[in-house]
Amino acid sequence: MVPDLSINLGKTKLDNPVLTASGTFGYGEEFQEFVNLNRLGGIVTKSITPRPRIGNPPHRLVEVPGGMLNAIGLANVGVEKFISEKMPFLSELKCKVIVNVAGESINEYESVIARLAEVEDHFAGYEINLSCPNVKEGGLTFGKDAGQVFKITSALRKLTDKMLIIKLTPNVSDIGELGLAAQEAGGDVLSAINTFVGLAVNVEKRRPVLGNITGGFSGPALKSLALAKIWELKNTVSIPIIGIGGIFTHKDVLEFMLVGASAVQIGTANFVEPDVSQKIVGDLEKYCSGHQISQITELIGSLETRF
Amino acid sequence: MTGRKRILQNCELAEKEWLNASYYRLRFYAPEIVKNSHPGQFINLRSPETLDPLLRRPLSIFRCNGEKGWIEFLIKLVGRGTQLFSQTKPGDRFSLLGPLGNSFPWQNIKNGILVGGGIGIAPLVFLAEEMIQSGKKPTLIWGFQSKEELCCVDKMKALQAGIHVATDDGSYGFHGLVTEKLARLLHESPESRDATVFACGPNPMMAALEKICANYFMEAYFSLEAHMACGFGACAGCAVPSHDRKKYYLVCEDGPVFHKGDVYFGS
Ligand SMILES: Cc1cc2nc3c(=O)[nH]c(=O)nc-3n(C[C@H](O)[C@H](O)[C@H](O)COP(=O)(O)OP(=O)(O)OC[C@H]3O[C@@H](n4cnc5c(N)ncnc54)[C@H](O)[C@@H]3O)c2cc1C
Ligand SMILES: Cc1cc2nc3c(=O)[nH]c(=O)nc-3n(C[C@H](O)[C@H](O)[C@H](O)COP(=O)(O)O)c2cc1C
Ligand code: FES
Repeated sequence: MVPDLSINLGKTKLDNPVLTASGTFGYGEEFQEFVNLNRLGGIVTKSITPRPRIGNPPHRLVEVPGGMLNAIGLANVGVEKFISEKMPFLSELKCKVIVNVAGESINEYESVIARLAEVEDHFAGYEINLSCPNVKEGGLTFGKDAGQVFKITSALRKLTDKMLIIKLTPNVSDIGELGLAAQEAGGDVLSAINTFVGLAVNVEKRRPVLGNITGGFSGPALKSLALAKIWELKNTVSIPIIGIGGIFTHKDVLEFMLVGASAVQIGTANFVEPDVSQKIVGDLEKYCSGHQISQITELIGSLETRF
Repeated sequence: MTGRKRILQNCELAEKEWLNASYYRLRFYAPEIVKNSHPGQFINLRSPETLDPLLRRPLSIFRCNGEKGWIEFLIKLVGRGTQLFSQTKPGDRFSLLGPLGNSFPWQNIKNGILVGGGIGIAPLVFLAEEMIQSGKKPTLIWGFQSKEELCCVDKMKALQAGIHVATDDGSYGFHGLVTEKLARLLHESPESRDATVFACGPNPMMAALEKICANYFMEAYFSLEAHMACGFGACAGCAVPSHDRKKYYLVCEDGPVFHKGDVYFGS
């Protein structure tokens, strides 16, 4: 028996729960020599902004115990070049393509969505990055305030019927409140988490290692923190959740699903093993066959917490 | 770069040898990678047994042998990653990803001067060997902190390469910086000024070199380093500023080899 790995994110059906996380998978094409992209549940693009962004000064990343810090600064080609240069490749793919959108004001998010709406036949939906810790303006500033999350989600909801995923920051004391705001404003799906803000110091130089001073922490040590955030969201909202943070193996995926995620995104692991996303899909299949799980959706939120 | 092909594969360590107190050499049998490799390119290495250290470590191709299919790295002990690699033994598994990046455009040049600072000699050995094999006579100017750091000099002499060595403390060869040695050579022998400079070393060395080359209107190419996560253009982590500082290049994709005047080496 071949297990059914398909899952639903609102009205959108994915062949399996494995997506790749924004900013860790380029525009997809960078990974085609390592991964059969059509084996994935979907891919999420780098954050797209209205105009190209050159990004932050170096160093932009550094390894730290348990993971890495990055302060890329949303370097991207901008929406026009994305449409002319990156969409043709993406639109040939059979897996779901989700375009991640970022901006410095509500207006900027709106302008990217309005422009992409003209070509949106080619992809499955949007992920709204309300959580980038590495740009001074926008992003995280809105993302930390439930009122702003509500406002921006409602504004974008008016512009598209496509799947709208709201990506949340963990750098708050109450992530549930943010999730609820996104849900009430018409968001279809939540994704969590983006990176935790961190700082690395070069003692010899008495300087921060990163050009941006602080950066976002990602990698293996993020997993348990992310799981707790998913748990918090799961107990607050009813819309589907995509779990992100420190996923390196199919076992990590299972943990997120048990806690309540309908799907997951693989981030930093793509740098370490470029073919890991596809391998995880295969391993999930094997796991389900081996455990007589006919539909992977059985696992979602099935964590037993009564002792 | 033509016919770019990147390979991801596990390899067993074939040989390890310490060349001085902090430099060691690793050899792997990886014919597919070797077939596609050019001087200046690098490989991203990691130990598949652990996620700590996490990221791959970029290492220049130091030498390779097309017939026998082996590839070598020359590695300097720096931190956790290079420490872990140094503790492995033949038979241990590594994961190799590459070849990555562009390469030194050496084929169509008449003469090359290969300037290396410290561990920066690694890609220049591959380059020198390729040039010598194709009948060219590169001149090598290498700088080390002291005699103790000296590496591969005798090997290069055996290949009949013209080699000049500078040490910071004067314990071997020319007493002073490698750039001073180059300046002196260019001053004393005008015929060497039609050569192309290929360089790899610390940024201050590259900045000084760029000025010297500009004085004599010489062609020059520099191989750079940057902190990397992916090594193949996906993370945008390995940025270096362009000369006018209006944009960034990615060292893993646009480099690691850059033409003179392309990048800003810092003040
Ligand atoms: C294209 C390229 C070619 C290189 N070729 C060689 C070579 O042939 N031989 C050699 O010994 N070294 C080479 N280096 C440098 C080598 O990658 C670093 O010394 C090594 O990554 C240090 O890792 P670590 O864990 O020992 O040090 P740590 O300082 O503990 O490393 C921490 C993090 O910073 C990164 N990092 C630290 N120093 C450097 C550096 N100088 N460049 C890039 N990343 C760094 C590491 O990769 C790691 O992610 C090259 C670097 C690049 C970019
Ligand atoms: C280098 C890098 C760049 C990233 N860029 C983006 C981005 O542009 N937009 C975004 O929403 N998230 C971005 N992220 C966050 C990831 O999508 C993900 O949320 C985070 O890394 C946690 O997952 P991980 O531990 O599996 O990496 C980036 C992460 C990294 C490491
Ligand atoms: S190391 Fe990822 S883009 Fe260069």
